[in-house]
Amino acid sequence: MSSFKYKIRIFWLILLLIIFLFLLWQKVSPSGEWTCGQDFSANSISSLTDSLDGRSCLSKVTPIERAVATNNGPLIVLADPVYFSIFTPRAFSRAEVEITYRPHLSSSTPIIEAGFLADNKLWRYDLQPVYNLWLEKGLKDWQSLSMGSLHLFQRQAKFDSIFDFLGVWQNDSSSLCSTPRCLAVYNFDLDGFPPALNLGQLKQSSESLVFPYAIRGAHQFYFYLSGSTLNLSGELIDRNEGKDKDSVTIAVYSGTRLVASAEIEDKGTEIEGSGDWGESKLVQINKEDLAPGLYRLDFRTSDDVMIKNLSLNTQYLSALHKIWLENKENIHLITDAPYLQVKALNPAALQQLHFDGKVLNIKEIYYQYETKGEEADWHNIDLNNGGLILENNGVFALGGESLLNPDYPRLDRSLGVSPQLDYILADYELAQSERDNYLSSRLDFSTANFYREKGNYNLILSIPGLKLDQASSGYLEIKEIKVRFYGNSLWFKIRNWLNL
Amino acid sequence: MKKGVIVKEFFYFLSALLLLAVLVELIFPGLFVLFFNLAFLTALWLISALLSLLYVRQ
Repeated sequence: MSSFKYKIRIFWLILLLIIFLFLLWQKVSPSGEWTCGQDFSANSISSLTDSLDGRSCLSKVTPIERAVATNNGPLIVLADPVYFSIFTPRAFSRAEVEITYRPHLSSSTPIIEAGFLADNKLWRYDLQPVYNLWLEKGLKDWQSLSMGSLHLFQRQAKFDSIFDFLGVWQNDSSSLCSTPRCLAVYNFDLDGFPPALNLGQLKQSSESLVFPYAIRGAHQFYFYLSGSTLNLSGELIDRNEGKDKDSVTIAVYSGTRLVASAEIEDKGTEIEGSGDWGESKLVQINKEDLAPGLYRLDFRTSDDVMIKNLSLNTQYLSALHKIWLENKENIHLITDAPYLQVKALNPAALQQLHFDGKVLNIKEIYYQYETKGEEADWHNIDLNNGGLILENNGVFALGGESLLNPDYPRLDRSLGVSPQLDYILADYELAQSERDNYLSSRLDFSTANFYREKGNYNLILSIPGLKLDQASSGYLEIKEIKVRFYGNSLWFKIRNWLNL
Repeated sequence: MKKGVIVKEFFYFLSALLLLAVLVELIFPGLFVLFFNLAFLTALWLISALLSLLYVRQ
């Protein structure tokens, strides 16, 4: 080999080795940190340089029709929600998301939230507040107290500290309220505090309630147990429309404590994806020595599984936030939230729905319809047949006598600063002002158990109520998204491994 | 003579780089394409292949 050829080969072999070591360094991320971001309004690099680069770690926004990328300007979000994928070379335990934005939103779209896909089976996102119009601008006449990121807003100044308020609320909440449910929360759990209803007023009865409709997919229910025994039963049916096996977990919680559960494996002989319904399987949970009180029933499964003839020894049973019924005959429900979001996934479910007597025509599948009800404690829903997914921020029940909602009202777009509220408790970082009227918000996520596919986390940006066909709902300009991931450094891992 | 060597070695280098790309993408999906434009590298590799064929003929 001539010396020239030898030299040039050594040169490219070293170059290849450097590239390999660089990729390995990025994969290991020895510092335990990884930053990914995009400044949408930065001057774009020339197309030639652009073509030499790899792709960005922050993907393009999807669905593309919900956002407009301007030339050297911000990304304009026109509808809710939009998604980004964020590539990371390895998994990290914490993420700090910084968003610089300019909201042009109305009172019908007062909230911006961002988060990551936490569970890909239940399609659950862990969301945190980016901007809340009520907390930023809507409570100027209220007296506010702050303790770190925790804020208490009082219509009339009665407390000097949040501690005092929480102490009184824990012991005697009814003495503070001029109306029931006078405390609203935002991004804050009042775990360990009394529920937002008077349990003493509930009817004590040991009779069983049989839910007359078949319920499809994952659901959560609240129920009240007046005795010390729980008797739960139902029939599970696998529709076998999806390609995966469909296991079922039924869990009963008192607060955050699991008190009873059942796991049912999918042992059906039908082929997954064939659409052949499996035989119905009886499921039962019987548990004694429980304290009378409020319980939550978690029915965790895929959309393939239905539960029929759900029976519980309670008079109070309410589905939380969502209900999907699969019956052929007329259905009547009530809800305590003043609005209803409706979606059909199947053409057979298209129909006219009545909400407080108002007709909502469901004409398209996959489109989310929304309707508002009258001012009332609860609202009537009437359907000709099942198949529709009904959602709101309240609960759904068979009638007023079985309605039960222990959750505090949430300060969101449906509630707003309503006259019933005297106090608002929020865990919220106020947005920071930047140049050119931009705002920036910083969110902290624990990403250890978040879903990550092919090296990508799934980031959602949600502005509930923002729709393409409603120009009055506004839009959002995003100047920059920056995500800093943190995890264990290589040095920490080595020390751990050597037990130093 | 020197030009021919450079063209051939460039072709070998790009071939090795593309092999590395395939291996990295198989083991760690998304890592190589984050830093390198695979379509651009493949185009360069095709051009270098054509050029080296020309020089071999000469």
